[in-house]
Amino acid sequence: MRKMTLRTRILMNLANLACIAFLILPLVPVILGAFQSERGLQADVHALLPVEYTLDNFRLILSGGSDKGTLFQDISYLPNSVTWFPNAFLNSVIVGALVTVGVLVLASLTAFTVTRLNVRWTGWLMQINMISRMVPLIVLMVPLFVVLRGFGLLNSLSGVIITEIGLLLPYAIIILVPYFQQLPKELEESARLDGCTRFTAFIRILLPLCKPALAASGVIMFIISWHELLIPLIIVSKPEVMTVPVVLAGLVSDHFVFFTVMMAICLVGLLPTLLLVLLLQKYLVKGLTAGAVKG
Amino acid sequence: MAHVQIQNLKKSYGAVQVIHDIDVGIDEGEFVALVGPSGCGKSTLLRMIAGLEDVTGGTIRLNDRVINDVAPKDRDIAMVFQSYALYPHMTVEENMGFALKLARVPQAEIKARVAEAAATLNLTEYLDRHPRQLSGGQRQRVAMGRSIVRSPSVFLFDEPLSNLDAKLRVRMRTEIKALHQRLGATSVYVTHDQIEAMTMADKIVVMRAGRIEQVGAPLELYDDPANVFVATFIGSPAINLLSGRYVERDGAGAVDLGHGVVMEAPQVGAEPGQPCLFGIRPEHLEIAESADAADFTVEVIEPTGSETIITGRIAGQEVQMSQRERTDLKPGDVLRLRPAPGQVRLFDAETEARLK
Repeated sequence: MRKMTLRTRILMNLANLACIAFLILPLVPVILGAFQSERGLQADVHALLPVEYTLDNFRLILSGGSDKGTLFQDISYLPNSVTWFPNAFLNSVIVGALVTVGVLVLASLTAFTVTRLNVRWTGWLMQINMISRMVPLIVLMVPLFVVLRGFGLLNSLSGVIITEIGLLLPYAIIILVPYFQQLPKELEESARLDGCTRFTAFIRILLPLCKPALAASGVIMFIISWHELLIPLIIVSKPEVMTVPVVLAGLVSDHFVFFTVMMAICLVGLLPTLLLVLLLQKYLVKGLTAGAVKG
Repeated sequence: MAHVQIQNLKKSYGAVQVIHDIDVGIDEGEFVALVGPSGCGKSTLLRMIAGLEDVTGGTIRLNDRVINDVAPKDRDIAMVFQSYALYPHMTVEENMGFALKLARVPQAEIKARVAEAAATLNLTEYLDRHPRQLSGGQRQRVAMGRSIVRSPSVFLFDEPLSNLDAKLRVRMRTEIKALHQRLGATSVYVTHDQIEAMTMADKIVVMRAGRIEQVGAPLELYDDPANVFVATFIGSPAINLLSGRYVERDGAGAVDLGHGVVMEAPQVGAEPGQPCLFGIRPEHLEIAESADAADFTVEVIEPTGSETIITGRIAGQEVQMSQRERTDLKPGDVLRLRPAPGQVRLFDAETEARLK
């Protein structure tokens, strides 16, 4: 391969920096906003750095409104969403975790069935799987609402979890099927001769080998579930079962917008996904590039 | 140890039949090689014995028990795959002990049996490594070790040496044969390499298009092939097959190869003038000045070190001869050749069956 010239290298690095800046820059005002007062933010919207720094926004949301600090002690009205934030955060963690686990269990079983069991109808299953993702979610909302009401799942985390699993399952299947396809079938056959049934061969041999793909799709599923607003917004109306995006949306009304509180919620809301990505980093790149080159 | 009996075995994929009424018996402790070109059904037959392919018709018996519908895990059969099929996420020790672990053998016994097999295969120092940290030959040995620790009734090998380089393949061939001699286990070995089959097997099953062409000991197939397919498949360089017509001369058999060349042949039950194929192996052609020898025009000389393969023409047809002695022949030289006594095999030109 021809060596890159210095000029090309500089241009490549600049392009790289531009891409990173494009992704990171929107975060900067959020970080700056989260650590200042509403008054400070509104005083000079063109200022690059805040005049004063405060942790009161975080104190307020993490205490559910009970610790108002100096910034909010005189405020006469706090939206309900702030009060319910710690609970919503916990709900989001529960929903995100269970949706991710549920989707991965069902998607890996489906991928195994589609790629290994040579069942004729699985081809159709994959087609339906693809088509189902072309239907906009909003179109499904009214029928979904009616079905969930029928099963008594409105205003419950189980309703949100089941719906999100249904929404995300096709994506996970699309990610996992090619990964299962590239695993040599001899591995499973060898396990079957060693004393495994098809299912134990799946659990003990194939699944551990799919760790990178499971990690990659797991992170993607968690992020999508964590950000999902429409489903909980329609299914849930009680504050005790709200998730973080719903709380966030509740901070915007015709009469007020709590910018700095919203930014603090956004930053705290970033933590679980960030932590997950850092934990699974070593599998992520492997999983996302699997099958790209012959191993 | 066990014996395997296969009767009227059939296998179809939809309307396509790939195995046709196979009958073969494998005795206790016997090493049987299934050979044939790609697509002849040898691997399918092996996989049916393993239980990895369903049986369409007929029976497979292991120690007189029909195992057609027995799950692979309950057959007590071990298999070495072409790709080795080592579990990448397990160490060599875990790979070798996996079957015993599933069988709930006590941990101490697993350790002892794995250590014993590893010592046999010179793998002791690699027990903590993962398959990706091993060379091709070492992986191959781990695959065999995984089978050995189980002490199964039958060992199956599916072209286990195909992925190795030529030198290593020869070494592993010897190792597998030595291992079989030591363990005395019933083994079925699939290969498309007739040299592997000849050197390792007690019995060879030659297959073509899902059918058995001939079953016999290696030298039996070499010396007494049932048809042109077996005669050409076994032996390297391949047997020479010259087209001619069967004639009788002085009460003995002969073949008229055209261009005025008539060569002695065994007397067979063929009509005089019947088209036939005159088969003679390269090492059975002798240089002679006698009247029954034919002119052989040298075209290509290939010295291999241990022998020299000389390609040329007799009666306008391509012929190869091999000789152990060093030679200073050049292309264009003309020799007089004749078949060694009793080494000519005649085949029907139309059916390709052996004429006796």
